[in-house]
Amino acid sequence: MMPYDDDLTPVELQAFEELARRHEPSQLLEERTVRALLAEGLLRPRARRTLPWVVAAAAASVVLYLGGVATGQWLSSRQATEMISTMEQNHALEAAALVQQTGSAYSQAIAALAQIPTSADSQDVSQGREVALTALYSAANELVRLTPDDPVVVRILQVLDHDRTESDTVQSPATRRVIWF
Amino acid sequence: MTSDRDLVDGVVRDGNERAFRELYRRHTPRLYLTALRLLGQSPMDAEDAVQETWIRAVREMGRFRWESSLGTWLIAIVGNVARDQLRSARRREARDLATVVELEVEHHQGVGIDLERAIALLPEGYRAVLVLHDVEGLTHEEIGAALGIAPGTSKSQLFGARRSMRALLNPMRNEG
Repeated sequence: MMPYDDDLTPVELQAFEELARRHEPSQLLEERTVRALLAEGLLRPRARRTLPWVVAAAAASVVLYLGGVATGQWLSSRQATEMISTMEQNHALEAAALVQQTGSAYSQAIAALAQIPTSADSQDVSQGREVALTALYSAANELVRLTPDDPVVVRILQVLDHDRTESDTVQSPATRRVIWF
Repeated sequence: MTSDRDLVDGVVRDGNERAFRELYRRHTPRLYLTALRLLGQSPMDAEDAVQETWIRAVREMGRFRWESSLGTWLIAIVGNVARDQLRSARRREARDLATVVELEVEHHQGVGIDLERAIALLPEGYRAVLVLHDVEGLTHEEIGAALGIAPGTSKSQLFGARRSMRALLNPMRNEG
């Protein structure tokens, strides 16, 4: 007999068999690992052109709609309907183009809003700001659905979530005067 | 379900991120738990070990011969990584085993502790061999390769590890 022969008893064997075999680490570890591998050139970055067009279209539609609200006359409801309809029917590339187009409209609208002196029509400016934030929050939500593994997008949503939670606790509903057109 | 071999081919040939993520999700829960056990239940250290394991694994994947399963190969790597981590962090426990057993027996007043805790309390050399052999099912040859020790050393370590484990689990029996 070998000096180190020392088999486990059936009870011990059973105890070992009953030990857990799997335990999930934090979700961030996957991203951290992938980034490290990309940085070392051991993986190639995933092509982003294969994004599901339906999700892109959904995000685009949110931005489109809320951008339209913010800009008032920029986009009429008829145009929005047509654009959403277009997104539903057309290729992902067109949907992505619509995201770009409506995103630009959204940015320009906020830029226009920022040009207005805060003293003038402060209530309207404040409403515009709230609408813009709501649109941004909705878009961030959709983006997280689109790319749940993207830590940047997740962080943006977390910041907005935090901001909304805080402002909800600070402001009573009566002080929030967003008017949906 | 795509086989491990096909996924590995995708990673080796194309650096395919999607294939890697699939492999990661398939094997990481087991790797992580093994790392936790090897590193004395420290989640942060275990996550570092898992990340380093995957980096080493992807570097070496092209040379993997499929003489064992991918899972076993990865476990051997995590064993190696954990050993390096413990060395570099100089976390060798100053307490010798007798002290550990004594303290535990005293603390639990003769009542046995559970197996998971007993494993965590073993000195790292014993712990590594016990986890890799008795929990993960690696052979002494595989353990030797992973930890940079002779298979005979692995056997003797396992012998000592099991004795220590029993002392921790059944202090009353060992007192007599």
